Amino acid sequence: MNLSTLKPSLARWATATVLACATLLPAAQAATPTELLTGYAAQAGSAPVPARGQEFFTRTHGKEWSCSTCHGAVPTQTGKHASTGKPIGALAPAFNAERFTDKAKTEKWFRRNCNDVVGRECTPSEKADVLSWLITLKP
Amino acid sequence: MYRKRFTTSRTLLAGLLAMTGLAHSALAEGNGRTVALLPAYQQECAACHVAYPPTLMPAASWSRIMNNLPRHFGTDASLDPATAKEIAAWVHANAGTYKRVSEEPPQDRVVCAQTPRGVVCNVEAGCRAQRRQLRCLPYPSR
Repeated sequence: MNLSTLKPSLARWATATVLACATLLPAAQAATPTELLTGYAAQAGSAPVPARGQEFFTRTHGKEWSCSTCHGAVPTQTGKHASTGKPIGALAPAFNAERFTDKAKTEKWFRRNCNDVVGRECTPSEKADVLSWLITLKP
Repeated sequence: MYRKRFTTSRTLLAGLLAMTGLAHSALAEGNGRTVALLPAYQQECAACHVAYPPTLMPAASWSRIMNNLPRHFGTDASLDPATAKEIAAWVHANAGTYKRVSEEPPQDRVVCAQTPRGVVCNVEAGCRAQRRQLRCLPYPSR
């Protein structure tokens, strides 16, 4: 497509939009689930335990919701937001290639959801345990 | 029968948007003007719910929402400061411009309205979460 064939106003708008997207959105910090797991395990200073991650994921922590309330007890299928009902894509990376491929996004959702479920941020050890369990889930 | 209960266009429009999923790219305002969704708004807000058009509530309601994201209707919807600032500026620039928007809806919920029969809301899931506080109506399709 030749930009010069577009109306000048449209071309300006398109350029502005592209620039806005490029500058305003935080740069995606590309990663793999294994890299993120390695990072959390290093912060924790101990080896992750998948079984402990599953237990943490499935039980409640003194509040109304557990992780599995929205994601499902085994998050290999589409979940459902507990208050809005909006579908939530599978969380296990083998079932959803987008999962745990952006460090900032992963951190954002751990922060929010741990607050909702545990009432505080999760520790690196808890994140490592949960992620190590999710990585074990295979089709 | 159902629709008669909704006394504001805002509530009806929000319900229709919720049902049709219309609120995904661009939103036709009541007067025909179209408001393109801010990409960050789509990404951050519509990750959990319908991308409610900012035109459907007055600025005062949006201010309270944007200042209280860590306690957003029962969930932590906190954002990094830069993204929060960007979205707040956009919702304020487009707030309350729908021609019939004048009042602040109960609890700053786009889908709720004060009626002679009390507060009514037309999103089933939102009502389920707030059953003690709100009188709820099911989706029109049910």
